[in-house]
Amino acid sequence: MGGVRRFFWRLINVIRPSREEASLAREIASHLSLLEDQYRRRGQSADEARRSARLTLGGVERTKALHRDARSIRWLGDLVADTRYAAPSFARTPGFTIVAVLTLALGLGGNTAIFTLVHRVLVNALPVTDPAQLVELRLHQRERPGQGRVQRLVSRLSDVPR
Amino acid sequence: METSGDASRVDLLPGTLDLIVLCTLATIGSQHAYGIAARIERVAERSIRLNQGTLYPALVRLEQRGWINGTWQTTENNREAKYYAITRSGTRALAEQAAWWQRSAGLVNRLLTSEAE
Repeated sequence: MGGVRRFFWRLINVIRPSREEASLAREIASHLSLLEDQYRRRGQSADEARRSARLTLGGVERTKALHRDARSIRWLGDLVADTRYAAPSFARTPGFTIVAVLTLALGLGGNTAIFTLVHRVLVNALPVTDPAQLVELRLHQRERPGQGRVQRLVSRLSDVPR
Repeated sequence: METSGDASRVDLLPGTLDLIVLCTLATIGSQHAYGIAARIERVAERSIRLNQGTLYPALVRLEQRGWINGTWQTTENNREAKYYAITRSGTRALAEQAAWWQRSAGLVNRLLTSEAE
């Protein structure tokens, strides 16, 4: 249950990456001032206390990055950000975009077609001398016609199981 | 293993921090990140290395699961801070996670201490 809830919140944070940024900054500032109070009570000067507080926290920017990674889904967020960046530049140069998309489409299509052929003919060829002579034998139950199971591929009548 | 000067201090096992934070909140009641870190360090008696900032991802995970709940309040020294409190489903989750942890830690312990037969 908790997992589903968390996934939902992470998706929301992918769509609105800065949603919790202000609250996080406020929380870290408050954490730092509590740490500074602690170091000042131990007799450090204001400057020393500020430095010690940051060291104990482990860096403000690092903490923010850890928080971002945990509250969102990083790769999905990056994908959204890249798309938002790329879409306008595609729209600005429609000619280039069309050529690029067609090139990719042709390349992928050609590759797929040729691989399918090679796969059928070379990789996945049937291990018999004359595949064209093979017969597919189906068994049917009388009560349920049409639901045949492929029982066996046979090439000679004498191969049919009795 | 670390071979630096504080070799006796250990890094937390990944995944255990969430359980530790949940357990801390169940024990001491509503508390802010600084207070949680202070309590963990006090209980561990300086035997763990804890960058206090690493609490934040754990707090987000727990809050997104609905196991803890954060609200802004004022500390006794008049500072504002976000206080986290364990929820009812958090208490249930803590019981489950603690049982799981004890089972797996117990198994590893038995394996480590069992003598050859």
